[in-house]
Amino acid sequence: MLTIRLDSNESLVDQIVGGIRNAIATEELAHEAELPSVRQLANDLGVHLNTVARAYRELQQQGLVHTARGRGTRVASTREAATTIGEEAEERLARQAQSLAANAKLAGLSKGTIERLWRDACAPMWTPTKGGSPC
Amino acid sequence: MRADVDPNEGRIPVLAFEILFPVSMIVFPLVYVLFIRQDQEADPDKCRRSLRHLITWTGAALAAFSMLIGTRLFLESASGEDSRPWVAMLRPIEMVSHFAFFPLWFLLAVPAIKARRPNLVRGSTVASTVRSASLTPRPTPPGLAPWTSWLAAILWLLGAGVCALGLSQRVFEGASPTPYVTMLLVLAALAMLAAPLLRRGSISEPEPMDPRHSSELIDAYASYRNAKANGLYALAITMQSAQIAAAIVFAFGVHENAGVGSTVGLIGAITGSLIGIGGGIFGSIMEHRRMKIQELLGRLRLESSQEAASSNPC
Repeated sequence: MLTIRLDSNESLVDQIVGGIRNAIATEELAHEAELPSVRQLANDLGVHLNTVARAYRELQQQGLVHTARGRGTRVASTREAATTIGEEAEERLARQAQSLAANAKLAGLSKGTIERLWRDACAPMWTPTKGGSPC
Repeated sequence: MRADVDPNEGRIPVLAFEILFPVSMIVFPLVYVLFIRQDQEADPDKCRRSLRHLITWTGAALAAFSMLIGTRLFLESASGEDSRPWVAMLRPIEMVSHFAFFPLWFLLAVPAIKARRPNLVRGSTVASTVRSASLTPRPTPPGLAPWTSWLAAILWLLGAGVCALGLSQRVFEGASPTPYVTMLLVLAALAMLAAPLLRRGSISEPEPMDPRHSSELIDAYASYRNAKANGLYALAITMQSAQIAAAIVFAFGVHENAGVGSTVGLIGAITGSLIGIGGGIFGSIMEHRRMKIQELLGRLRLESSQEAASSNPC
């Protein structure tokens, strides 16, 4: 399930990329699961075909999906994605975490609220059935 | 000799059709709008205004058509040689008045429907700032493709075969093919080309989801999609069957026999109109079902946003 907001400051492409990344991370989209066609997703979201096509290209560059002629766009294996992203992932995440923390502070949120939001965001990614360590 | 032949023989059914068909086309948008229930959220002034415009222009279209057909009937009844050019000149204008349906429907009836059912607009993808979509590809409706494709192919081959037979007879006789046979071949080819597009169009309509991915909405979309695909196929097959019947008539020169031409023409016109009316009714039913889905989507989105607002302590 992908939800976007037109009134968000984040671009539509980033929202689509983020939504699909989230679905892959939470295993809503399993390995080798087929994504909807660009036309279907664009029609359903009421956005331009190019917006979805750009989002798919970006996901492909990140190694999260792969496109094969006649087979559509499919979710890549997490190992494949990890190889592509892994080397700089920690550094990038640290930057994003700093940015998030700054935004939260400037928005006037308490440390407790930020920690709760972070726990809620992590919970679906590392459930006991999916393995891995809790956050 | 002229007294032996009744010039009005077979004229009354043709005239009844010539009058009833355009009148029903002109009146249809108004009747349809009157059947649409007005929502509680609708603006009564807007509804009244849009309905008043539709009634006024429907009345004007009917008056124009009545005037034209009345003038023609008067001139025909006068049956003087002098009036024939006028009668001939009026016919194309009458034909044009049949198309009054399109502006009445698209420019007046559609806004009137939207005024009566504002949720139709609010619930749509375009009007909403929060949009949701399923990340699962929509499969081809099961059970549709195999039999309908084969049946359509068989019907098309039959039609093409009949046309080819008529064409070959002409060629062997050394005569050029009649324009009817050529036209039917072109129509059959167009039908063949249109079928896959029709099929694709029928299953690729947007299906935006609510944030909670409601199973009620999924079921409503699936039911609508299947009904639409099946209905379109049924219409296409009926049309192809009628085309084959027409091809048989044309290929074997039935229409060229004395006295049969007008009957064949009348049957063809009535059949064509019935298929058209059937298509119109089917389209209206599907549009109504789509409206219901949009309303359901609007309601579910509203519930989701209310739930999110109440559960967010910040």
